[in-house]
Amino acid sequence: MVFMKKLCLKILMVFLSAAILSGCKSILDVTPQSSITEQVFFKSEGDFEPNLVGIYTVMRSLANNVTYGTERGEELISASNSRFTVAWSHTLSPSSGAVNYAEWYKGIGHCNLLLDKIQGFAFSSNPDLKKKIVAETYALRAYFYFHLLRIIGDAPLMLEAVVNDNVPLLPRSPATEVMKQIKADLDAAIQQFKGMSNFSATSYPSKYRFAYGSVLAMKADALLWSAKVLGGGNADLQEAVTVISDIETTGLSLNDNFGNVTGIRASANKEVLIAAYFQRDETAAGNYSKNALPFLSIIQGALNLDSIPYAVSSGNGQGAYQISPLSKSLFSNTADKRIPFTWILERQPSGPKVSWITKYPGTKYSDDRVPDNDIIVYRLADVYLMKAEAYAALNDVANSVKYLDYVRGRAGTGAYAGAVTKAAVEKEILDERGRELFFENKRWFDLLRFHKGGTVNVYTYVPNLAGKSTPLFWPVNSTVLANNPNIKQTDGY
Amino acid sequence: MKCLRICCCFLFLFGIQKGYSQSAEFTVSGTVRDSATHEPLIGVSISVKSKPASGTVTDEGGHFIVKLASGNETLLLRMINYSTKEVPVNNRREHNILLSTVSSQLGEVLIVGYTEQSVKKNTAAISKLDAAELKNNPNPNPVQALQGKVAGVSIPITQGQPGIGATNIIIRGGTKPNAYGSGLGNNNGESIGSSDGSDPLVIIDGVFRSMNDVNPDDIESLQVMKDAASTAIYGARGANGVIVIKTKRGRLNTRSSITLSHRTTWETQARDYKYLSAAEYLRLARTTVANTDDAINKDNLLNNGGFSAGTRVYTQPGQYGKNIYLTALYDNIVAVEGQQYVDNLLAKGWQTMDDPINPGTKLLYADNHYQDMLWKTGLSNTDNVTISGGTDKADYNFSMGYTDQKGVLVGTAYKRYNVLGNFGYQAFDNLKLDFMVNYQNVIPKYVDAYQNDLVRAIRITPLIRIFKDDGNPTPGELYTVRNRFHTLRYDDMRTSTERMVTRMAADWTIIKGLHFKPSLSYLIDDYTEMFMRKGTPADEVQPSMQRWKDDYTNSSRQLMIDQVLQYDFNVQQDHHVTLLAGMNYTRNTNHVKDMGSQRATNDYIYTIDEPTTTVINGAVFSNVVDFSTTLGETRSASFFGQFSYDYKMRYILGGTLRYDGFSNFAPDNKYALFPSLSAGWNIDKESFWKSNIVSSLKVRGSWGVAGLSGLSLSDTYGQYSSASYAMYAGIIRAGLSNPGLRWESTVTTDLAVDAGFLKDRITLSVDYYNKLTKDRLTSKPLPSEAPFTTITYNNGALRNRGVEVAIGAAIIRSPKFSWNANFSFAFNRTVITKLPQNNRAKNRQGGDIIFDKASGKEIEAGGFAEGERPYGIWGYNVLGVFATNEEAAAWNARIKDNLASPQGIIVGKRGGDFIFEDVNNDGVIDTKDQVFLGYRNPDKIGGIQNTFNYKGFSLRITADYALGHIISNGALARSMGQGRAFNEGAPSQAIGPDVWKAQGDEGKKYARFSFADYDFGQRNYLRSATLGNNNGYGSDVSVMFEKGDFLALREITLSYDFPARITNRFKAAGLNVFASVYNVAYLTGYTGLNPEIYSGFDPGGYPRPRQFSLGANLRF
Repeated sequence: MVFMKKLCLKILMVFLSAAILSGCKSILDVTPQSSITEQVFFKSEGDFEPNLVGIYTVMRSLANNVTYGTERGEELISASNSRFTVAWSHTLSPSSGAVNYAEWYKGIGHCNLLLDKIQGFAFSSNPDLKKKIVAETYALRAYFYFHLLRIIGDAPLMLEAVVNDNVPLLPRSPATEVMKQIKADLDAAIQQFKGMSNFSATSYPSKYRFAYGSVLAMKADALLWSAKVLGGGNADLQEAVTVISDIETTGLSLNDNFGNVTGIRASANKEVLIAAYFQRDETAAGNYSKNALPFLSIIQGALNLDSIPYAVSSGNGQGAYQISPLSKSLFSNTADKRIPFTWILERQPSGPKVSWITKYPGTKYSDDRVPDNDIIVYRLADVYLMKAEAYAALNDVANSVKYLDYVRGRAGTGAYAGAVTKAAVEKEILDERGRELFFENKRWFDLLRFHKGGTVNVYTYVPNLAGKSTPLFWPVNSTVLANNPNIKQTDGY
Repeated sequence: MKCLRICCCFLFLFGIQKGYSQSAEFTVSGTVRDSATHEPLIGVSISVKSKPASGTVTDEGGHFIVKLASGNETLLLRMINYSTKEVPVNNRREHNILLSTVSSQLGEVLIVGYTEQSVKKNTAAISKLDAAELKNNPNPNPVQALQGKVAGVSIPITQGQPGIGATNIIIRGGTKPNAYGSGLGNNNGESIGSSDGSDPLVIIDGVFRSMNDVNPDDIESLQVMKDAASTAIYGARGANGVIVIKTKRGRLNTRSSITLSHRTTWETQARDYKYLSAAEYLRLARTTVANTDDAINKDNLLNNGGFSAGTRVYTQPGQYGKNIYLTALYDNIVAVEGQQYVDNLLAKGWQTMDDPINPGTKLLYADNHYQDMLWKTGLSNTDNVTISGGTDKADYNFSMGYTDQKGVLVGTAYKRYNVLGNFGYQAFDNLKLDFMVNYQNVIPKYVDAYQNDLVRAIRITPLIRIFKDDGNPTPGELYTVRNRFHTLRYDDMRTSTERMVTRMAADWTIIKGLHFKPSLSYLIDDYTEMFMRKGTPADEVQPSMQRWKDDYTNSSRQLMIDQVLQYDFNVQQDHHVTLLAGMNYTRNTNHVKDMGSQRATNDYIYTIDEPTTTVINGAVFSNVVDFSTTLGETRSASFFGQFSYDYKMRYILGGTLRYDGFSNFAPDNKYALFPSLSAGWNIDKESFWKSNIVSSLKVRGSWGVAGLSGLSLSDTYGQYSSASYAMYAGIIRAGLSNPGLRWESTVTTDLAVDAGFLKDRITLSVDYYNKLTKDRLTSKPLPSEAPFTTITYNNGALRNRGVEVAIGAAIIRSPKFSWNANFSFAFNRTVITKLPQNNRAKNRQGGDIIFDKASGKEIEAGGFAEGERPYGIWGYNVLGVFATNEEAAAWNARIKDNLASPQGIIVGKRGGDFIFEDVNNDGVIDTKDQVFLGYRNPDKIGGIQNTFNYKGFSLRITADYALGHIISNGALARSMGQGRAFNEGAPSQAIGPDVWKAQGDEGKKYARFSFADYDFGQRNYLRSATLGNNNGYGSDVSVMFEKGDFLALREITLSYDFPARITNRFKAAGLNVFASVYNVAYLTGYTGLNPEIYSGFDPGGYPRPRQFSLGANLRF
């Protein structure tokens, strides 16, 4: 029994000491093996370039969204299926089709965080890298704001890095203020690029990321918007002309064959300034042309089946969009070389059927066609037409027609032969953009600019808008309003 | 790790044993048996009271002979687990003595935390399930047997795939608002899209693990702990309640027995949709398309084979025989394939019809009889063998089980092999060792993608070809609406789980009443999923990934170490005290390996054997689909103490304290303290209590706190994840961190009365509880200007308050016939009580603005708000159906339906469309016109069990019910509106009397049957409300909602115990045969498929089958 008591005492002591020992906090310390936490990231200069790459995925997602750039325009009607939102039918209201702009602010948030964190790093062994990263990040932030500005007009200006649930409750800043910020970011980007020791205006290190030339293109685009929609006047237009002149010296040229515009990947495309990258293995879902490509079973029996870019699997083509009669009517010149790369009419034994869009035909692989074309954000023909638009607005019709004709020349439609008045040329530029940039996700913004510039009245021109009074900017949805009492609904709703 | 090693040391312990000797004159002999089973007891120590050192032990037959000094002595019988008994000899030479087990002396025993207590002493809300309730269930998952049996425990089993369990086991409403789940699943056979994990902690033989896949036959007892007095001791994980399961053990000193049991089950579809036949569908589809005003492409559908009831002109022989649609022009097929071919088809069952929209044209078609091919009688077999017994020092129970269940849907199955070994060894008088090993191998065959492969694919039209002329299956319409036989032919999915649990434990009695109980357990859980898709014929629709293979393994491990020191002592005889202190350390790790490839070159190799790249059109493409490994680890450490005290069993007091730490919290918030207190008063033990009617009466109450730590590392520390762009490897912030996160805690108060009437012939238990869950660990919405829409947050509080009633009665108790019944009822009300300040009324999170008719104002509704019950449903109110186009036109002039499809808005309303209520009278139907319809989750649940015994016969009838939920009949809506693909079978309602069919049809319930209601139509049926289910497979239209209240007649079992005189003939100790029917019928007003739907909508799919069983148990 004595032995037992001793043993018992010993064990009790060990037990108690174990209890005390386990009190040591280290027992619960686990080092994550498969996740990157805030404790370890942004602790090294090497973290910034991958982070910047990541932000481009948000840019790609917005570039691929046709609800805002296309649906409200006149370009599309439904085909065998229908995938339109109420933006297409212009029945937008605060309770139907309204925007929750969280995705834009996600991208903006990523930029804000990067710009905040990079301040503490000198990049002393490679200062050019820091400049490049900062330049691209400013460009991306400008892209997000410029995209959002064209959708909702006045927008909250979030410029600080949010790291916890303390989110400032911002009001919507007037669009002119937002535009000021966009210009400031673009100028900051340009300044950073120019400050690099090995700066070269003709350098496009990647056609999928912002470079000096593509930042200038966005700036020209923003200036046109500023001039025509935000009352920026001739100063903005003049600057746009200057900026585009700079772009013209960055070593780009038009493809001789219009089919190569989307037929050659952006990386090897001499006309493209920047595109959103798509590739079948990286983005399995494909780009927005998935909705435009038919799938085999809905076009079976077509007499011209072999000429139609169709997918075998409905996962790669949804057969939901076709070109509208109104857009087709812009191609009044049958010699227009762009027509076969814009649409094809499906011919069935019982008669003509759907006009399938061929602008982004995807890639035909041995197994199936996949909608994996790069989505072009800016290309030289677009920039030429911007310059034509700027000149026309400045009433410099001669120079305007000159740039218009660059585009017409390639299309094989000959030099502009219409009236050389400001109004006529501006209308022609709008129509030319409708032909040249069909289904490139720009139409609604083009229409808005020319509507504000007095060239066209979208309330009579866009069939689904005719007879309606739907405001031109989108409403914000109830989630946006509920979570920030300082946000006011978009004018007109 | 030092701490760990020390813990392990405790498993190796030493003790001391004492011996006996004997000498005497008067000889007494006899047999000692168990008072309950009458089995002889071996190794009972028998001594003389006056001379404790002398004595003997019983032999293998329970016999003993003892020599005494005289015939006036008193024998003292002692045996582990049995109560000590004194037997005066009184000069009798032979004594047959019965010993009762300790537990039966105390009455029923409950496990409370780390101790065992008699029910009488218990002050907590604990329900114990009779093992008999588990025996009669034909389902391999024990969760199913719990349904309706325990007051306040809800078991939402929403589907009938073999082996499937419940979405959650919800005790007293759980601690999360979305415990019942919402949305529609499309992965791993799950029928629910998402649910808040609200499962209780399940402890099986002292090991934290899942209840799924445990063999019900191995369970000896199962109890459910519901209040803080019983759960606080589990601290960290007890907030959702605790289920404690003990598996079967052997008994010391019992003869070996072998039990064999067998069960065969036939399962059939219990409720089925009535779909139209091919002829009815063809007629309806063609006339509907021809006559509609919807902006669909009629020519394409009708004449270019745009849907299954459309024709097309075939030009080549062989085209029709492999085309997916069976409808064709008779003359065209004769012309292309020849009369012989057509005659052959007609002989095989093909039919002809005069085209209803083009009289004079003959259509050729066939009915695929798909429903008959899909749903079969599933045959299941279950076998168990158990060997158990014990010597004087060791007890053992060894069992093996095998289950092979086939589901009613072709190709679904569940197979399980399991082995359980429980060994106890009395190493010394004061040291008992236990060893448990449990092995499970589970091989299910689920329909993986519930939405695509079940909800959608099983209702393709009767005009879709299932097999081609060459005998191979067609893909069906699309891969996301795929012919089941195509899946079975080309896809080979093998999943399996292997689990091995081992546990070693010791109970060392240091001095009388002082026990040291260390234990160590290790759980190995390996889940593997292997998939291979064979090459599919090139001339049919192709999958997005061809010849796809996947190999996924998730290896989980759990190490648990417990050390408990317990001291039981009495003060002055009547004061009984138990003190306990201990610690627990749990470490969970998992390792996931995921590999996938596509574009294999052949179908011969099941495993991945592809080159990593392929060149297509000159470009290099990777064949690698998945390629990742992850390691995860969490740890928890806890220290706890428990005390209980009673005075003469009259006044009972208990308390626990637990200090819990979890690794996923930031350093300052890792630990939290969880206390509880409870008290009880056995009024019937008072001397003044003399009632004959109320035979026992106890009041008890408890208060305590339990916790929940359901958060991931990234919730605390943030996360950056990979994001590739343009072939660059990127890293992007994936969520905000919140290092300030604290433990979620649930404070429960429980007040209860337990009473017995008429010598406890009737028992009644009533509990009232109030459960307040604070610092809820969930996401909180952020302003849309933030980089993320939510952040994980200690997001306010939620309260569950309710009443539980359990009644047990021996209604008839005659020697020959008895009738026992149990009834339970529980009412639970969940309310969000507090949310972080956010400048909105009631600090609402989520929700939308609707128009409130009562106040005539716009108000916020939905989401979560202070003072509101969560998961209400709002939808669009239907006032009726337009009888004529004129009636519709008048409406169109006043009101525009902004929620119709964009094409439909242009067309406007016509006769046959629903008249939606413009609640705010603003001339527009939009989200502001949503009206409140009801709640998704039931708030009243319970069950009733009846057992009738007559001689050897026993009849059990059980039922359970749930009240208070509404269901949208999404399956009906979707087939009336024909989705977006045009190819869903039409329901019998489509041509029934309630549906609008022609101009002038007045007062109909249902809008017209139409095609592409969502894409091109008025969205009569396929309409989602922001505050409704908001799911494409539900319909947030008032007409489609019905009350889900049901009473399920769950089980009828008739069993017969053969009398001993028969079983003796073949040397058996017992034989029982039984027949049962499970999921017999529903008493419900719900007209859809499945009233057991708690997610707000019934998309169709795989309802629970009706199961007929025959079986027998044979014991030697």
